[in-house]
Amino acid sequence: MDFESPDVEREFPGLYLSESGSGKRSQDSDFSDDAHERSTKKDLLIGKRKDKKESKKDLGYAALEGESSPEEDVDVKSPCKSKKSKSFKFPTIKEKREKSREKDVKEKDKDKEKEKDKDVDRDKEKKKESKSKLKLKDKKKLKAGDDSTESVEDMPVFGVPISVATERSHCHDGVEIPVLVRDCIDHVQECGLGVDGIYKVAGVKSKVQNLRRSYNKREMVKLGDYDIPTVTSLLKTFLRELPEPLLTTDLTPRFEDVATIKEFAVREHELSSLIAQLPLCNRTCISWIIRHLENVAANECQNKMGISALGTVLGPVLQTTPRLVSVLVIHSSALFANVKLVRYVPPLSASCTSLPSSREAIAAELVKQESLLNQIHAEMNSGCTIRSDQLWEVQRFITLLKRKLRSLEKAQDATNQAADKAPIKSNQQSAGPSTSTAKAASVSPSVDKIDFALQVASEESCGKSGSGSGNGSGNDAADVAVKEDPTEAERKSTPKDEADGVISNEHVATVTSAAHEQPSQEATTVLAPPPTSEQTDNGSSPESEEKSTTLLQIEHAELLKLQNYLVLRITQELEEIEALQGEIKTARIIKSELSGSNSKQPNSDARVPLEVTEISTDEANTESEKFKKETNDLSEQVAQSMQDRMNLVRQIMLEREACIRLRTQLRINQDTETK
Amino acid sequence: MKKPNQQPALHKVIMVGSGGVGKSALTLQFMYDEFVEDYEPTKADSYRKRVVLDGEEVQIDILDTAGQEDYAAIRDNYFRSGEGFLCVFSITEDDSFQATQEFREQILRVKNDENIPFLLVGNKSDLGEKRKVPLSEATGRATQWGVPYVETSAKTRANVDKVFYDLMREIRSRKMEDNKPGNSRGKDKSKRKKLKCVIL
Ligand SMILES: Nc1nc2c(ncn2[C@@H]2O[C@H](COP(=O)(O)OP(=O)(O)OP(=O)(O)O)[C@@H](O)[C@H]2O)c(=O)[nH]1
Ligand SMILES: [Mg+2]
Repeated sequence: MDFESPDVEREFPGLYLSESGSGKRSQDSDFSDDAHERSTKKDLLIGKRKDKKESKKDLGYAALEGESSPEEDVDVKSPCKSKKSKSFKFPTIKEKREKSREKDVKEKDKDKEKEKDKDVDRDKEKKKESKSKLKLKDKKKLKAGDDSTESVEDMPVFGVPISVATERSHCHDGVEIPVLVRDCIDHVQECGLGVDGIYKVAGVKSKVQNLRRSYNKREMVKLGDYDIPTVTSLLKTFLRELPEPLLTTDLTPRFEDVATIKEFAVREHELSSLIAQLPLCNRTCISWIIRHLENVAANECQNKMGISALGTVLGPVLQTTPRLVSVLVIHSSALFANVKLVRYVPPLSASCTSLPSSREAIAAELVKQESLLNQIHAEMNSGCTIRSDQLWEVQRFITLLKRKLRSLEKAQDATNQAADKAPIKSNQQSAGPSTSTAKAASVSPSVDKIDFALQVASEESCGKSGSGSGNGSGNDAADVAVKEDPTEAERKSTPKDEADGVISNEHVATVTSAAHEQPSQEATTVLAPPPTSEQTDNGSSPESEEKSTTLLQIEHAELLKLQNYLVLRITQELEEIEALQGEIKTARIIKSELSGSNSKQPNSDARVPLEVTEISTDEANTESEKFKKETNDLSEQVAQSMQDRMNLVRQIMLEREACIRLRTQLRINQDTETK
Repeated sequence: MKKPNQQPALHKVIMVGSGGVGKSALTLQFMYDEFVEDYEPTKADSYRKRVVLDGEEVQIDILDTAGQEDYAAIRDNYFRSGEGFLCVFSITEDDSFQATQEFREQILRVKNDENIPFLLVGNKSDLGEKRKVPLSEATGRATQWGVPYVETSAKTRANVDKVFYDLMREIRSRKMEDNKPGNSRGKDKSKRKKLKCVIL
């Protein structure tokens, strides 16, 4: 019975946080007999599926972005490639713009068409779209409904194919599912798993409709303020309104067939191969939903919604039989093993005044903001003009983030923080007091810089608070709230980071090992910058400028020496590792030879008395045991030496740095004395 | 929007011009009183500042666009939402001056408005000895367009404030004009026109 739960928990950290224990086991109840079979099969399947997914994923992204990416039109729109070329040749540009506009129109038509016609074949559709403008008629027919609202209404998220919905409002952290689906799942995962009759109990219709409208208009929505039935109803509405079943019109019948297969392993295998055939956005979306339902079912004790109950409720919603939904949920952990339900942390609102503080956090936020910006551009390119305020706002936020990142980088480079961070304690123990004084001297100027950076940021925020012209006064209150709690952003991100850490142990492992392998790079990149800081610090007066130049030269020479030395050390350490690995190999060979001779012995010496054979096997066993142990020891040694190497490099780096500072100081002093 | 009287007015300014003429340098000088010698091509950047314009507190949003053609594709989206333009060239580079013609046309096409607040800006006036664009030529073009011409130096800060404030004044008076009853030209109109084009 317990067989699966650790597995599930590993993949869903925090899954049982709120309702721990009670619901844990229930999910196995239906098919526990198959559990063993399943898990072995799963191991076999995961590898295969991953490969497939990866390759398909690339294609999917390319296709998706090709349609909307603003960069796509670079050639079309840019009048001349190089700065030098003279004429812009506007006529051609106009023509081309006309064309691209037509394209936009067609794009819209495509959506409308899809809205209307439920069984359109995707591929056929695309071909048609590129060929003709026939659909304009359709558009006019459809248009009748709401002309009053501007173009966002023309680009809804509800009632359009999943690919379109995903493109129009995807998450900006790389998970390609519509934000609303993610929001709903997040909210239920967080505080709804224990709610009685979840997904069965309907929400308040008007609230659902309001939410639907908000999402269609891409308004900021705080789902957390809504009750669980409303949120689940919203998700159900979205799925129900999809013009094509999430499992696609083509594949649904085949899914249904497979769902009736009795044999667990066969069924799982067939399901997995069908899922691999789904378009990427369908696959991603269904995987998140099923993974989520798996969690819901795991809490059956509290919410009374077991696998079959969920099937009954969601079958019609997903436009399948209840049975198929249940089956998918049953196989969920195997089919979607690489899907982790990570809470979505959306891009910070542009009116948010507390920027993330670490370089990494800023960089991550920049990625999200750029994704958001691209989406806004894409929407504007397809005729949506309402977003221009947001465009400026997001752009401003990106500029702000970039500026902060840059000043942080400068400051950080100046202090060599990155290099010092880890070994700073050991440094105080091992290295003499001279090192720390040298460091203290180098720290002080850059602290000012950080202050300056913060000042810039806060200045910026002053300008912003009480402004937010496009957003009304509501923002100001939010601004204040955020200001009062400047660590909010960090707190937000930490739980996620922690979750990530728990989720992908293997990932963390690879990262750290990668770090172990590249001490040389780290050393050089981290060490190189300090001269620049010195330069800017001293750059005020001409004589100090001259001084700083010599200082730079001296430091540069010293740093080069250090680099050479470090490279040497690294090669030495690598050699040692190789030697150790060689030892392991020989140990293995000896071991295998031994076991080989061990098996031979009784055959060749058939006449040897039984007792003797037994003894020799015993001996061989103990021998091989010994070697096994030795091998383990050796690999431990290797790991240890890797660790040592890192520490060594760190320490050497530190001391070298201090030396460089002292030496340059000495040289400068000598110079001034001679003068 | 909800409380227009409590919000300072916001003026949206867009910097246009060829790569390397000093759009970013002018912007950063205006924003932060800093001048960077290194040239780092811009993709797009946006800034906001509170300033006092003729005794009235206003905000200025500055959008610093890319001169490099690599990023030209996203320009239109920005141009559409700009209320005033600083069209910058470098007095030391004739190509950049010639390019202003194209920028002007692009803006007029996107905004669909001949009277859009607009300044022609000849930057790098501190490099007078390297001047390639005669003053007369620049003023000639400005007159032809019916726009002011100002020479600036992002390095020495000469006329930097002037160009931004002058443009804001133009934008402000333009807005007051637009707000007069019965007058509905500009942004909305041009948009509507465009939309029709799309449908047809
Ligand atoms: N001497 C002098 N140099 C200037 C002046 N303005 C800008 N520069 C220099 O010209 C170079 C380009 O300036 P930027 O402001 O980055 O140019 P840009 O117009 O923003 O270029 P893009 O971002 O590519 O469009 C930089 O090296 C600046 O230091 C000026 O007024 N005088
Ligand atoms: Mg620039």
